[in-house]
Amino acid sequence: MDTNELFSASLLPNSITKYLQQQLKAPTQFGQAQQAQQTQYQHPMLGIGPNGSWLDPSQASRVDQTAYLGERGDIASQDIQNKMGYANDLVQSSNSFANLQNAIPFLNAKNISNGSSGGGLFGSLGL
Amino acid sequence: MASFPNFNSSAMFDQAWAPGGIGFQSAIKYYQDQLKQNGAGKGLPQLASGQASDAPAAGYARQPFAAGGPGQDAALNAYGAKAKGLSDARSAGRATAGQVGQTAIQGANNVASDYGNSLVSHIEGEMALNQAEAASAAGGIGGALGLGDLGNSVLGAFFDPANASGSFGKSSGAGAFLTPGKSGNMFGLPAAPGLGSLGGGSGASSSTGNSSTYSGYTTPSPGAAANLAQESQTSFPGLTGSDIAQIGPSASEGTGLLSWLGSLFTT
Repeated sequence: MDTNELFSASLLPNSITKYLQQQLKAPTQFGQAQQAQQTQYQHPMLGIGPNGSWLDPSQASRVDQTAYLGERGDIASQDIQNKMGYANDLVQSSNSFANLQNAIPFLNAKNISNGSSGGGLFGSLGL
Repeated sequence: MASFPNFNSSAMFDQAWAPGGIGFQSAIKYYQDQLKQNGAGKGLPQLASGQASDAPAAGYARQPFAAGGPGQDAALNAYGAKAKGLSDARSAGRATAGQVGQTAIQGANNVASDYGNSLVSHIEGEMALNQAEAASAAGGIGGALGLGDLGNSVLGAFFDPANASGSFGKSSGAGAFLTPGKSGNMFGLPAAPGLGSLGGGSGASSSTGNSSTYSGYTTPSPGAAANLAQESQTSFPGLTGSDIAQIGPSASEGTGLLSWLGSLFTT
């Protein structure tokens, strides 16, 4: 086993880091709620109320608009929470990647040092 | 039945309030009522007949859940609750999906970190083990000769290149001299990339060979170092006490060793 193994091992945190960077740059996804709202807005319909009666479409639209805005708020809040988590994950994955990268030259240097003083010719001769 | 020019109502026929539906007449009455109340017009042509009497509007006003009717708040609240329930369900689904994704990423992070740390510890352990074995072997023949680490690093490689441990063992230096095909450099250093081999001996490969890895540190054979003294007698039966004295404590270690090494190559 040699330090080349650490290069391979660092690919995993590196790929996680790249994935998280993409997630942090992604815009908030309002698409699902927005599509439902637009459909309702573009096609106002009378609603069936309890006992077979009906609802005024303009009033129903206002109810829908209120629900839509509330859902946008939920989506934005959830997106912020997700990105806060991603940011913390990014710190961890970046640390893992940096630690592995830093360990490679450190271990190489340490191994050279051991070879020189422990068993090398110069070290044996006290040179 | 009333008609609405340029209006595609085919999608609404299933609705009770659509033209022909059971609720349509009620809807007509509602808008007729609105037209009358706000004075915006005299009524749509289709509803002209309705202007003749206030009876339809009066009938509408008595219906619960209509705009302004006694049950409308209940109807709107019920509808609003349904809309909010759907919105909350979607939000809960997104929150769960976010948590699942977060857990997956954290798990991957933990695995990556633990795996990396394990590898580093493993490599450090190998290095420490090899160093300890090299030091232990030096206490064998090298110690007997008073040469310290040199015993394993140089003599061990000469006497038994195949089993000698240490950086000057079979992967380097003298091991390369006596065992063609082994790579390494003259100084027992694992060749760094780009450094190049300083003298790999006959058949030795370049520094890009196995000397650039730690494979040279994984060669200790159990008992090999401890038996070096015995093996040396077999490999070099002519090695006598006077040879040892020549390179012993009475002479400078470096001078005595080099002199002895030179005699090996010139005789």
